[in-house]
Amino acid sequence: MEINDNSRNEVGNKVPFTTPDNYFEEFSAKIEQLLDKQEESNQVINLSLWQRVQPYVYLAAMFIGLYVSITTFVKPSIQQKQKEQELVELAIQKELLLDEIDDYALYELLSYNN
Amino acid sequence: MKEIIEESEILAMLASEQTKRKAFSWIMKTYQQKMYYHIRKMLINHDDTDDVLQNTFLKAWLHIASFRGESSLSTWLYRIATNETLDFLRSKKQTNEYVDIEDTLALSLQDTSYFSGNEIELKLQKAILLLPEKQRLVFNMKYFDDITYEQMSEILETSVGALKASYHLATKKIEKLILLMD
Repeated sequence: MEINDNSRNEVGNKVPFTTPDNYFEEFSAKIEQLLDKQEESNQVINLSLWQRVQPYVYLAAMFIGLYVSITTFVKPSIQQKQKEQELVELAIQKELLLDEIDDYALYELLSYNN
Repeated sequence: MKEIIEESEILAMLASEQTKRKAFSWIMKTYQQKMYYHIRKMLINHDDTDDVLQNTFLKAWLHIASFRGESSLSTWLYRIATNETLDFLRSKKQTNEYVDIEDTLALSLQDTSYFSGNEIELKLQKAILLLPEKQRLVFNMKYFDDITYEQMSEILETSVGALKASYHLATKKIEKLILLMD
């Protein structure tokens, strides 16, 4: 078979595909509906100034709340822990000092005090 | 009776927010069949064609403001539909890496519902599917839609000379392929 302009008369250039019944009518309606939905959602996007800044205000309030609770509850307990740690370290240091003194030096110290 | 509107009128309607939607509805109703068959010849399957056609018109609506009438409405829509079709085929090839998409399409030709062709038409469609994508596009647009090389050049952004050569090569290949099928 030769494919040229004459062959189009022979074979035809009709596209051999069909569609479901009423496909094109339904297709237009479907797209129209989708565009309607898009337009509706675009209208929802037209928010007032307060509605636009609302999420940022809430976010800022959340951070402030977080800061206040940290400074009220978490910070003192950290400070308390630090103090306890310092006391423990001091006690260890004193104990180490006592360990370093040998028996003779202790005897000398006690007898000097007496 | 279908209302006949000049393209310049449509352009004017598109420029106004009040009439934009009406103009687009007219565009859709006027070109949907042309675009459907343009896509269908490449994708064969009706459901895939329906998806791509839907994306074509939604994209057209999204970019309707950028349409200034430098090319005809038909050229502009053909360009969107072609790009959407090629993107679809590309993504299908990526997801089915080890499957030859063209072979699958050729097989589905016989199975597909909504194929109304006779034996010769089936052979022709099978041979077309064996062409490289771009040649397939050129052949379909010239042979079935009788689109001028000048318009095709605008749609596919390829020179007229290259398109003529591509169509010539495609016809020779198809002739050989059909002979092999006999």
